[in-house]
Amino acid sequence: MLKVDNLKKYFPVERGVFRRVVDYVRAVDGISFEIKKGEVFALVGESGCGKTTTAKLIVGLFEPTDGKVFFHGKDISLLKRKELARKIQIIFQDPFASLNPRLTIGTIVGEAVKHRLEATDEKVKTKKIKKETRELLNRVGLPVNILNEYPHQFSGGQRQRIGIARALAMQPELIVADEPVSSLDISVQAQILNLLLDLRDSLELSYLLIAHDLNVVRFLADRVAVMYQGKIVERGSIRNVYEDPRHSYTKKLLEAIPTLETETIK
Amino acid sequence: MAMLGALIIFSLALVAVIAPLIAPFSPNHQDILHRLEPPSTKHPLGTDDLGRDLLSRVIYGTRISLLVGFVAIGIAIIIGSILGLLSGYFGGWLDTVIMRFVDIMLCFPTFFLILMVIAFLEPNIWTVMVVIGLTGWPGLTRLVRGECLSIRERGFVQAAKVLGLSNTRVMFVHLLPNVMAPILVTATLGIGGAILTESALSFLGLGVQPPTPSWGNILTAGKDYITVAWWLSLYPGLAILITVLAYNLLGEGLRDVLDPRMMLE
Repeated sequence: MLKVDNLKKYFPVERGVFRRVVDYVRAVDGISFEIKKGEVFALVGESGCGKTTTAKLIVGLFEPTDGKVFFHGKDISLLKRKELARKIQIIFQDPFASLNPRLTIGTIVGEAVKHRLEATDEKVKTKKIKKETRELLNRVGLPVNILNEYPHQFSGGQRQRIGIARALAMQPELIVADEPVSSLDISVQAQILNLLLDLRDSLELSYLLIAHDLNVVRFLADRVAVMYQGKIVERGSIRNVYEDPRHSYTKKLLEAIPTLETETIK
Repeated sequence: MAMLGALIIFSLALVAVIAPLIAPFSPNHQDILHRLEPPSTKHPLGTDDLGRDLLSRVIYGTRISLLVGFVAIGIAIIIGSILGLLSGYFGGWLDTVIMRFVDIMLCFPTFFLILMVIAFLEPNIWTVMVVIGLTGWPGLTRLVRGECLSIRERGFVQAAKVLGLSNTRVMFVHLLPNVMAPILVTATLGIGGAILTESALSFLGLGVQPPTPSWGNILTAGKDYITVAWWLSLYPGLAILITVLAYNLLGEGLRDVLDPRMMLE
């Protein structure tokens, strides 16, 4: 469904009065992968390895320096913004920054629904927007009577659900989940992960999961790619990569997973 | 103190609206027999060189001064916000062009720029308001741009872009309301400045023209008689002082209230 082909994103390093380009930060340096329908594909790696830049390239927030992203065989750079929005959506890491503090929940989710619906009779459209907004909130496990409330009235987990509802409003086929639970409490993390799995099953969604928590990846993903300094150094099924890592960086990452086992000090 | 500022501004606005009801005389009614009379029960603030009641003229002058403040700053806000939004949101060459233009505008001493423009135009209240507004936006543009640069990287703005919303909607629905706090504070402080500028222009004879009363031109008329009729300079001067102080108090208060750190608490 999604094919990333030799994708590169270089950020220029400028110096001097005339902003001469002296070097490039190779945030994403020629990565390729594919995501199948209904699959959860994870990109893991340490902070600064290029995971989020990859996510932003795929949703169209950044222009690639080189390489292409294809969705169902179509180059996404040739799609209009709205067309791309109906195919790929994003869930952000920080649920506190991802909702406009000045808008009500009804407006935040309703705006997305309104944008997706083609222009029809205004009255019918307004009714439809309200109905769909309620359905979306219901689907992500939120009460429907919060339409007139503001983001600051909700907890981190609830805000993340609102962000998910907004993403679902465009009826996308692929959701890029950029560290969707890393800023949430452990108990809330499990709820959101289960919600993502439920949504995948009920709506036949695919996910590109960006994460650095390998436990989250093991729980949610089918396949994983390990990124290091802008490149993919290892990829495979969860089982293969976790049980038989080949690359030294992957081994180090796996060794860094915290466990409850204790060493006996003799 | 912000409440005191708001109260004074509200009172001034009320005075401006009901001026015909509370002014004891018409602002242009001349009574030559009672010219340059000191404050008395009939004329609480005295009379001017043409025997006009100073209290009535100061009351009617409130209308001009408040109007100048609001319209001039309104113009500056509209230009400054739009250019700041465009510059901060789009960045790139547009940002460079707008910011260099702002730099050029900031190089000129504003008051002398206003003087220069007004020298070529007919001085009246509308010219004064428009010129003050057209020279008051560069600082605001810089401020709005700075705020936009920070807010455009926040998740909700990026989410709006990923939803495929138009740039206009992202700018005016998602960015602008979130940069309103500094705009409001700057505007409130700027109104005081605009009133002072109008008063200074009127004082120099380039602002609101007599017989229309404005605090600035009442001051001008008073300067010739300052040794014999001190009230002609004192009361319009006090009116300007109190109004500018009230706007500054309100502006400082708004700055505190709208500070994100205060909002978190």
